[in-house]
Amino acid sequence: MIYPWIWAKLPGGRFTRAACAVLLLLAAVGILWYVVFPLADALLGLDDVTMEPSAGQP
Amino acid sequence: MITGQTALPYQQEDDLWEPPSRRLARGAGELMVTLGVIALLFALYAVYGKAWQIEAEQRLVEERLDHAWAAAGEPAAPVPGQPLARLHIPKLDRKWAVVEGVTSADLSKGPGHYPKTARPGEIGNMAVAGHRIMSVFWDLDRLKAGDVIVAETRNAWFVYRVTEHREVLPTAVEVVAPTPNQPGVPPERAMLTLTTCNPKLQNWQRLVVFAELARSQAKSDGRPPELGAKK
Repeated sequence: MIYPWIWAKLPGGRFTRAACAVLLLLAAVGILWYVVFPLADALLGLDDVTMEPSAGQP
Repeated sequence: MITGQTALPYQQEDDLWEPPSRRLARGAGELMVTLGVIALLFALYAVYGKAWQIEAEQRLVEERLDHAWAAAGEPAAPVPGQPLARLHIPKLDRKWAVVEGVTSADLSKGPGHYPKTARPGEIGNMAVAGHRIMSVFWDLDRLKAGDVIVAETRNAWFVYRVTEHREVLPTAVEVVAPTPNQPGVPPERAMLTLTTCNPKLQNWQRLVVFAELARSQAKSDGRPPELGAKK
């Protein structure tokens, strides 16, 4: 129900709403790609490549 | 579907009306689809996004290395975060500028040289770590005994040949010891060790490739034939 709610909140007619929706989508993807994913990647450590005595401990 | 029944009053009054249970299910569905899309996007980031970012950083680091070599000559000691050598793997058709250090910031620029390990050509073990992504050590498992790895410094080429590759636990720090696998033993040979994560996109093992210095040649003697003809 989030998306219909957002759609209802967007101003203007069908066209401006679609444009706003695309902008919102791009902003969300941008924040994920440049802020959230690098942090998540560092936290998960899925690509640790170094040898260290403490690594790999459960 | 129920047929032959007259519509209930609320269905006639308002098309948008739904029982609360349906609204809840729809909301949960939306949430799950959203999370699924985010997960897919994260997978794209892990496979392609990071590779692109490292490629962009590599271009800058390569330039900086060329400038450094053209200008002042080699510094007495490698500077953390700055490039110190170039590494070529002709079999994989790849080359990188190697930066000093193995922090995540260093490794976001390309392969990183473990501090305090040997420098190219030195007796000891030159250890280099790199991400297991397409623009770095993705295909490291394709290296077999005898394959060539060339380290390039300002004044010389050092041609190493792979001796073995193995998969170890991340705690096996002895692979980067001056004499690989024999910590505490004084080094007699010039070794090169590459480490990356294994399996691909997972982190519970490390893939380690050992190589030993076969020969070296001065830059003034041209490119080593092992690199192949093309620049």
